[in-house]
Formats: sequence, structure tokens, C-alpha cells
Amino acid sequence: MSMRRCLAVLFWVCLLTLGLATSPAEAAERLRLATTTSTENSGLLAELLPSFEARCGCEVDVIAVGTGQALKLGEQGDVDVVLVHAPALEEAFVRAGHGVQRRTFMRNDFVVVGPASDPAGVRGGRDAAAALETIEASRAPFVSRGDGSGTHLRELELWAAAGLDPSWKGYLSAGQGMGAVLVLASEKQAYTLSDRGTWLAFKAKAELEVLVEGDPALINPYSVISVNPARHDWVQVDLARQLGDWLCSAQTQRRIGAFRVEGEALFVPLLLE
Amino acid sequence: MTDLLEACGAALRLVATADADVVAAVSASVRFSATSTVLASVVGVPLGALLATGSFWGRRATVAVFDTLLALPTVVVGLMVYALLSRQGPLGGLGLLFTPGAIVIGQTVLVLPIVVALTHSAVAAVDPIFADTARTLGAGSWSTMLAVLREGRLGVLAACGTALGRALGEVGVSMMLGGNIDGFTRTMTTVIALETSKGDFELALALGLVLLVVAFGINLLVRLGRGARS
Repeated sequence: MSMRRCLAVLFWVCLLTLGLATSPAEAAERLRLATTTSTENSGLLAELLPSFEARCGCEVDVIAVGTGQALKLGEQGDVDVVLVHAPALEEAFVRAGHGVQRRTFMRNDFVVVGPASDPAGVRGGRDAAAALETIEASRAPFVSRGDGSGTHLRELELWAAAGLDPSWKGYLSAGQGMGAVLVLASEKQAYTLSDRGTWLAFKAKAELEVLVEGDPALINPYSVISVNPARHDWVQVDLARQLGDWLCSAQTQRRIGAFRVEGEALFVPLLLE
Repeated sequence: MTDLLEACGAALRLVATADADVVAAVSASVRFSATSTVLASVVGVPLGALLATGSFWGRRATVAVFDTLLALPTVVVGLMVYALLSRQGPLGGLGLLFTPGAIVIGQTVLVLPIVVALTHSAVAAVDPIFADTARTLGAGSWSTMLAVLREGRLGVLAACGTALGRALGEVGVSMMLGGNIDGFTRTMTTVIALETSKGDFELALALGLVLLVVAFGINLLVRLGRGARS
């Protein structure tokens, strides 16, 4: 055998063994949690979950998708537990028998952001639906998530509350994640609705400002729901319940309240007395 | 918006400090893409060679199919394999969705057409006199194929290398089938997508540069493997 061929064989053998032999051992039990990008991207779960994993001796697989997709994964039994923020969809999910033990345990809020020049003049308002109505009337550009996410659903609810069907030329449906939409809105100097966590992460990069906040209609409650084990017998029902209990425990609730991004509190625990 | 130089600096820091998350993501990327490339090559190289040397009914159509499959978007592969592996799908009982196995299956499906189509063209480019001579000398169809494969081996290696590059660089399959689970199915490309969505463009860009360095290293190894011929 020539030197060259030896090397070639050696290379492929190395690659093969590297590929097959180093797959991680799957000793610990794995709990699959489908959640939304806002909880994962804010770093909250990375902060909280390690102590739960240590307690239960399991690994929590966090799959961060939009609320719509997270519920779909739960419906199909591809995950054990979901952590989402879309009350209307959650109720439908539980009513249809896909989920059990729904517990709403924390909230954060949405903000309406827009260009500093504020062409529609909504700055300082406390009524989100009225602000959207003003923006629509001014024909200023507005970027919608357009992706069926919890944020998109809330935006649609606000339009419905304003009695409007947004369809003017400046209304852009992006079909992308929150970060991408904030970048797009910044480039186009458009208004958009954002969750506060993603806004904090992006505000240094986006030439936008918070214009409307503090409306009760902008409150964004998060719930944890176990996937119904009666529908899918492989669901890790005990671990899912433990995670729910743990998120609602006083100790975890306090840690949720103490969590800071860029020095700002992001989530408000709902179950402290 | 983002300073490229800053990203280069950040990339260097990540490599120099052997950042644990980066090491895990690089290792996952290399493991998954190497495994799927080997699997696709084991199936695809003989298939491509057969399509080039054999004569049987439906051969041209099969070649056309594999050439077309080169255009498969990663999300479509992801969706198809997702439908198979979901608990509601025919292979749901295996519980493979959101595991490394799912990524390997998806990437194998993704790169198989590359291996087949490029092997086919590499072997088809070998002078037909070569195969005729082999046959005249009494070689059967199996040993003729092996002889032609050996003659076109540089092209075949290039096919496997291209497949590896595609697997290493794709994000759709890994994200959809792996779920981007930290320390489990998080790869270079999914972590880049994640950091981008978090607004950490510098880190995302730095990781992109690290990915390029890894790809370069593997290319170097492949070149070493096939000698300094080309």
C-alpha cells in the first residue's frame, strides 16, 4: 500500500470512529421542554434550570420555538411539558385535552417601540390599542411578527380591540423572530410590538425607543403546562409535574423576581403570596 | 452595525480560551456531520458508480432524480424527516426527534444526493476505454466498477468532501430535528442562529469564523489524506 493510500484509509477510519464513538452517553433521564424564544433568549432558563436538574437528577432539553409551534409539539407528544405565553391558545390547548396542570406563574410585558421622531405621535401613551389606531391613521410603517408567535397573537388582539384590520401599505408582515423584526423596524424606522426582554437585548443596536408601555393589555403572562399523559403514554409525567411545582415554589419565584438583564428586572413572579 | 475586526478578535479569544460552549458546539458539529457523511458515502459512492457504469432500466431517470435532489432546501429535508420521527409519525416509537440521531438521519438524507450526483459525474468522466479494457481482461461488473472507481477516486473524494462541507454548514436540519438543545444537539450553526436571534451579532460572527477555521482544518486533513496530488 502506498503511503498516500495509508493516509487516506487512516483519515476515514479516524472520521468514522470520531463520529460513532463519541456520541454522548444518555444515562440521565431527559425532560423535553418546549418554550418560546423570549424565555430562552433572555437567559432566564439558563439561570434557573441547573438547580432543578441537580434536584431531580435529570436533564432538561430546552427546545425554544414560537408559542404556536411549542403547543403543536405538545399536542403531538414530542415534548413532555410546555412553557408558553398565549392565554387564549393555552386554554384551547387544555380544553382539547392536550395538556393538564396549567399554571400561570410569571409575567413580563410588551412595549410598543418606534422611531425617536415618532411620526404618528404616540409617545407617552398608556393605551396600546389607541396607539395602534393612531399609527394606522398616520400611515406610518409598522412591522408585524407575522409568525403566529405569542407576540404576534397579542398584536392581533390589540388590532381587534382597536376595531381595525391592518392592511395599509406600510404594514409589513415579517414572518421572523423578535430580534430580526426589531432590526427590520430599526432599518425602516417603523413601529413594532416587542416583548421587553428581547427589546432590552436589542436596544443598543436598534435606533428605536419605547413609546408606549404600562397598559394592562400589554401584560404577558407565562404558563407551564404538562402534556397530557393520557394521550401519549411516553410522556415524563412525574418530571413534568415536578418542574411545574418547582417553578411555582416560593424559592424559584423569588429567583425569577431577582433575575436581571442589563440591570432591569424582566419577569414578575405571580405566586409570591 | 457590527465591527468585523471586533468579531475576529472575539473569535480568536473563543479559540484561545477553548471556551467550553464553543468546544461542545464544534465537537457536536464535527461528530454529526462526519457520521452522516460516512453513512451517505457508504451508500452513495457505490450507487453513484453503479449509475455511471451500469446499464439498466431507469438509470437515466435515477440520475435526473438525484441531480434534482441537489436543490433540496434543508428545511424541506427537516420537515420530511420530522414527519417521520415525530411521535405521530411512522417512526415515532423510536423517540429519536430532538436527539443527535435525528440530526444524523436528516443530514444523511441531505448530503446523499451530493455524494451520488458528484460520484456519478466523477466516474462518468473516466475514459470508457478504461472500463472496456477491464471487461476485456475478464473483470466482472463488480470489479469493473471498483477499477473505474479507483481511477476516478479524486473526484469521489471531492464528492465526500463537498458532502461534509454541506453537512457542517447547514442549519435547517440541525435546528428542526435537533432542537438546538444546549450541550446535546447544539451545533456551530444552530448556536450562530441563536446568538443572532439574541442580538449578539459579534459572538455570532465570531462563531462563524470559528466554523470556517474548523472547515479549513478538515479540508487540510482531507488533502493530507489524498496526498499532495492536486
